[in-house]
Amino acid sequence: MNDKIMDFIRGKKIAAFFKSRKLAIVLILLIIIFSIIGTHIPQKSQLKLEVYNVWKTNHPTEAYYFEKLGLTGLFSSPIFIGLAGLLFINTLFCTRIMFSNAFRRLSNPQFQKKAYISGLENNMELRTEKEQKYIISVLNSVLKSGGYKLFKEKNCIVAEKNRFGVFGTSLFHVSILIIILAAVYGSLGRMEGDMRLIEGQTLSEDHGNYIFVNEGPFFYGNHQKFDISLEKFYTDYKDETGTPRGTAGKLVIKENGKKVKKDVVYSNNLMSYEGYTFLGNVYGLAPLLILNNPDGTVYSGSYITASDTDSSGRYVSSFEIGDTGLEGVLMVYMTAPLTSEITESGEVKQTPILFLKIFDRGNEIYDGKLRLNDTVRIYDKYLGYDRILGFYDIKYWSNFYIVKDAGTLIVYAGIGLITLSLMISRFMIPKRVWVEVIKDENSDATGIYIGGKADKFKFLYEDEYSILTNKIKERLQYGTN
Amino acid sequence: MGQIDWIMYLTATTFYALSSIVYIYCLVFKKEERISFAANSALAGLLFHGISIALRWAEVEHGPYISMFEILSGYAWVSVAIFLIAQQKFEKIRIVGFIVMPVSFLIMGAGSTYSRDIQLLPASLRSYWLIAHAAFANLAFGSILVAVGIAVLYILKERHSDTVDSFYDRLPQLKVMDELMYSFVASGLLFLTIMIGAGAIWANQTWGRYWGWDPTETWSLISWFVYGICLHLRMNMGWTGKKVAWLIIFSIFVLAFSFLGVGYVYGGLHADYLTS
Repeated sequence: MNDKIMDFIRGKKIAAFFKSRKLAIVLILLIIIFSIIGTHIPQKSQLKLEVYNVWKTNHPTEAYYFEKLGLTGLFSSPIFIGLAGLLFINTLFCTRIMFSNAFRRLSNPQFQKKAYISGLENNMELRTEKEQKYIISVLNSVLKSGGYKLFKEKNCIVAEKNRFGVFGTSLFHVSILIIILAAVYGSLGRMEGDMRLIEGQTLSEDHGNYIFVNEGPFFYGNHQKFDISLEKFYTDYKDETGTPRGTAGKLVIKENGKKVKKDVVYSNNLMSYEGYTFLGNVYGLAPLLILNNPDGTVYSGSYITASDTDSSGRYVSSFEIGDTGLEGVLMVYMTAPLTSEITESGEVKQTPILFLKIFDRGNEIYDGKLRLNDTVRIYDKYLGYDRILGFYDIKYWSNFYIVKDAGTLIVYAGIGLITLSLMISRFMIPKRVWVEVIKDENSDATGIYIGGKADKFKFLYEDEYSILTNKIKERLQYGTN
Repeated sequence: MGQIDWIMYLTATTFYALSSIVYIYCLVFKKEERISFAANSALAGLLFHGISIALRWAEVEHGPYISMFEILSGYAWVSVAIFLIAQQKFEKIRIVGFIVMPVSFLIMGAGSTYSRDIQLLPASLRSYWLIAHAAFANLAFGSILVAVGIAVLYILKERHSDTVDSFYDRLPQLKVMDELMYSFVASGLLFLTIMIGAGAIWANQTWGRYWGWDPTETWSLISWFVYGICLHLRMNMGWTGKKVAWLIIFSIFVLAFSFLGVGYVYGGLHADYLTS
């Protein structure tokens, strides 16, 4: 077998491919291209279903091909995930090399001789008749006062500053790995869902109680089943400092009937419990409609959740009345009649007004408006008698977006680390000064060869280097043994 | 108060315009002695602009990060401030103002076309993370704009490298300008990272997810990658000088688009704030 095949078998070729710096560039460019495509083509995950469907109806050909190619869910498509995966492997290989180089450099200071020192951009040769011991003490004192850590070996010195700066780039790459891993880990074990709660209602944190739920493969069945109550809903909440916070809901968490957590949830003030995060999003009004039998007993009744779909302040809903076959549509809003009282908080007390239409197998049998506690007779032609439909109460409801994502805190840690690593890379630049002291064989003079360089911003280092060498020169010139 | 801050804004814009004209004059006619006048005009503009921002801040009770007028004003102020600090530290690159000042003047002009109506801070925007997000976006843009100025200067100096021209000779050596570009891009990338990080934390508090591939988020990531590539090519693949200078010049269009253009073209969650 020839060497190439042996190298391939030993994995050298594969390793060389994955640790290639060019590969990183190619992958990032491909990710950029796909990202641009992803922002240009409507993404299902970005848009409300109805908005996406409108686009699909208006652009049937594009929608057909884009969907076929998986471009409407690009950021979760195998090709995009594959690219991110390759970038992860590439970063992993590069990080390993960077770390081993950084450790090697940190643990083995590199001493350099005259030949190397003279080749540096910043170098200087001094001659003095001072004793070698004195020369070393001057170098020691000046370099240490400049913040350098000194290493000596025979007549050579290497002085290093910002030594740990060599880890900046490695840490940067580690942070990227952490963020990618945390995002993957978080999404696999993630649960997100909307739970709709009417004021005063309690629901258990269970799969069936979500109106929409999305569970990662590692989450399924892990619902904690604690109780969540919406104790009160506020349309215009003001916090303890009097700052308006918009809509808010006072949530109470109960475990085995005991209150374990209580908080008012509003924008930028989430509630967290056992890794779950609670955010309020949509809200609306829920009128209580009860259908009574002629003898006064309750036949059917419930709070009907109505939504403000056009931000007009009017809440609409369509519903079925039990198993009667009757269907209804309603519109309800809060209003302040001229006779309204002023509440304790100084606001005008509002009362609901409900516009209601009832249909019996498609035929409209009622169209009118109801105030609180109003009733209306509904004739059921199949049964041949009237029932009484009443509007007895109204409450607010709110959807709570509930998320459990164990990766979030790790992503935050990754963000912190990436910031730190960039600060290290930018401001903690490793700098080295090499010195070789050579005693002349034929005279009392000693030659001192000094050279220095920074890992980055080499030319900007010139000033710092000049100050250092001038100090050394001065001390050697005017100092005494 | 509303009128005073507007007068201060217009005064600042006038000083920026004056400074821009003098910087361009200095570059075109190689009159280095007038640069101090240009820099002083920029400083005067910055002071008036600062007063304008402070007065509006006091009136609307939030920083310059809600309406497009405020956002653009913030970008211009930070860019000029970074430039003036940079030119104080690296005196030889003072002429970079011929890029920074006209761009800042244009940003101010563009800002003045948007509504100056006071917008109350919506509940979703009452977050310290948003302040950090907006502040670091300004810093990133300012740093990179200075880098672009140096990049343009680098290309001009390189073109005149074969001729004896005292104006260009007095500029820093090419290798020093190369490092200065690198330095400002590295700072820009750091600020971009903090901007994206703060935005992610804010998004998680507001929308329940730290990343959602919203067009503005995606383009911020694209910008981050672009500047990451710039540094990667320079550090690991020997790209220095003219190639990197051109890359930096090109990259600011990506950054400007991601900060200001995405909302108009693609909409998305950020568009409500970044288009009005």
